[in-house]
Amino acid sequence: MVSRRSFIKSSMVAGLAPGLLHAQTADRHNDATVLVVDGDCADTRHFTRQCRLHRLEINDSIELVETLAQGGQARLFGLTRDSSYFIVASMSALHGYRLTYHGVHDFRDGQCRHQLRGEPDAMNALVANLPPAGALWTCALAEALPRLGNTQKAALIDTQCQAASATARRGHLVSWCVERV
Amino acid sequence: MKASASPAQPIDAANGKRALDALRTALGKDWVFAAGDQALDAYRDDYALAPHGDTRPWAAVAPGNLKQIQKVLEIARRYKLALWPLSTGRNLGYGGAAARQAGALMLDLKRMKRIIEVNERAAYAVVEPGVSYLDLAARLRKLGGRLWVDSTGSPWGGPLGNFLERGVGYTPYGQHSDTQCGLQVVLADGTVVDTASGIKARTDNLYRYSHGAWVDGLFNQSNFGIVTRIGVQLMPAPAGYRPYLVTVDAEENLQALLDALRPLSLEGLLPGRPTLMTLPRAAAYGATRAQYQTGAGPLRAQAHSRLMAEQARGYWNLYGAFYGAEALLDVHVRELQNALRAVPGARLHFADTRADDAAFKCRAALMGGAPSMDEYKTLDWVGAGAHLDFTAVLPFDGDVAQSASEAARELCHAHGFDDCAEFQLEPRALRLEIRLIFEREVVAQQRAAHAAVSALAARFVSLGHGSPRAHLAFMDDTAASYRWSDDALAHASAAIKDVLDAQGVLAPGKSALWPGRHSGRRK
Repeated sequence: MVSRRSFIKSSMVAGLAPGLLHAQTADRHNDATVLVVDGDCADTRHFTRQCRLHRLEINDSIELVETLAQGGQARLFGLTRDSSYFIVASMSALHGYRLTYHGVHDFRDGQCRHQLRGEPDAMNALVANLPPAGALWTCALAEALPRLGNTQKAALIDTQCQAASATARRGHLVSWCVERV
Repeated sequence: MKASASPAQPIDAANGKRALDALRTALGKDWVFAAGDQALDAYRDDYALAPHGDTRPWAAVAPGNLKQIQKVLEIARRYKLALWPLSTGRNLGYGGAAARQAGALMLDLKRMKRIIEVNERAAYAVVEPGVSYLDLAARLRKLGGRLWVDSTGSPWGGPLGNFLERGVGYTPYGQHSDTQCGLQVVLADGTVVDTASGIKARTDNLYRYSHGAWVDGLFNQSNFGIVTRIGVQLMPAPAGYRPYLVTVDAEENLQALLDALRPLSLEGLLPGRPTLMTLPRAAAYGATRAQYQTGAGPLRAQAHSRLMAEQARGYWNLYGAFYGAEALLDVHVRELQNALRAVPGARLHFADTRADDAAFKCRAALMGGAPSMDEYKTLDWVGAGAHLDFTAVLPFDGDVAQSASEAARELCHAHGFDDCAEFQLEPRALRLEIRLIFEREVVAQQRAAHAAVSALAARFVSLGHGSPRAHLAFMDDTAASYRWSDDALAHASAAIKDVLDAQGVLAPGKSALWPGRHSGRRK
């Protein structure tokens, strides 16, 4: 039976309105954390290799739906193209997940601009590590994302670094985390 | 074209409170969402088109069954509310979950998501409005995968809503108007109609007609009733399946290609719904425009050449599939090869050489009865993308299609967009879908997309091509293009509306069907 609460969440096309929400009951244990894999870009593949977590393939929509319906995952995160994020965020909303972190990684004119929105301390730590990492920014991200804390309040942080990146020409990637509320 | 949202019939505060109280009594307070409730944020056009204006609803309700819908209708009639029914609300290129005008009471049917029946022997399913293609495909997979679901490129939408919006899929069952088998409809006065059978016969959902007038089409793209159940024919998994791609390099050879394909199409030798994409449309599945060109404006010839070389595409890319036993597949392929001899530069490709073709993977999945969300990857073309679509119907004629394609490209380019179009091949007609892909947070691009669709609509009317579906913002103007014989079609529709929904409570303005109490808006 669908509850009022999950119904409300299911109605949102979450990917298009990244309002962050405090995740009250998220389980921090890695077993309950799932990495959503978008393997079509070099940077996203590199990111995936850095994260030793249970994986879910974005390209199998039915598996995604079934996994979400089974429950048990406290959080999902990924570094993906915008469309993959849009799909996961919207589908996971059907099962009571809400966005708790959202980052935009925009490559233009040899620079990578990172716009990060999430828990302030975590964002500050991430920002301190991203620019020095340069081309290996995906490593810094892979290390930080599974450790994100709950979002009591969100900060928006804007930074940039040299975009010596394998996917620099693609233009636009997003990192994100959704948690069961 | 003018902005077309305006407030629905207003309700005063005292009556509004009484109506909400009545709705809460009927449905339970959990399923009534009023001003200030976060749930109302869901009922908007997520690919907001700046000129379309405010379409915020007055309130929303989520009934769980037929009886509750009847109660809501009773209350809507009593308070003269404007009810806007929606099923999954995922028709994102045409307005999503938004209503036609502000102030509506959204009738959200997503809670009704039962797969009532899957009949494997007779190959059909009966589903409620909230069932998505993904839900249905998951059920069929659990049952062993002997039946395919024919999904659109947006499978979180569902069979019921897709049929009602005249949507299509890509297998031989892709003409959804032809594969629906029975509707359950609640009329505005609360009467429940079962179109397949009035006597609950043993052929319910097997044979779509009862006796006398066949009324199913009345509920398609209209506001004459609330469809609460649909029978959907399902395709038995064939003995074999072979997806293919035909590429043609030169843009000007569209005419030759379509004229070569027309005889095959008429003979039923191009099963399913082959889709002929322009270069940018096909490329967008697996690339971004930033990889090929920076800065504003449509892709230049140099970028086209690079795309064609690096992705082994033509300007024209036809994705199709054959179905049946191996020997039959070989015959089909030979027929296609013979036809393509008349087309300069045409090349035929199969899966073994298209492993890196993201468009091929997506289309092969859809044509093979497997829902795929990969169509959304085309929005990555511009980063954080959204889209607005314009669709026209043309005769299956190469000369006509060549002219239409050139007009579409000229207008897309004039508004700063790439030529992201596709022809969907039907036996005798072509559905030309022109997709404006824009950065969804950039208001200037929203406005440009809106202006482009206005220009496309005007040009295609002048060329004599109708549009079979329209975004909420363009429904009135689209309907106004069908004005033959002193608006006889509009008058006939209005007469039916007045009989079936005398108080005009159902979806005022849907597909430009305005009830009598909005008579000023009737054409």
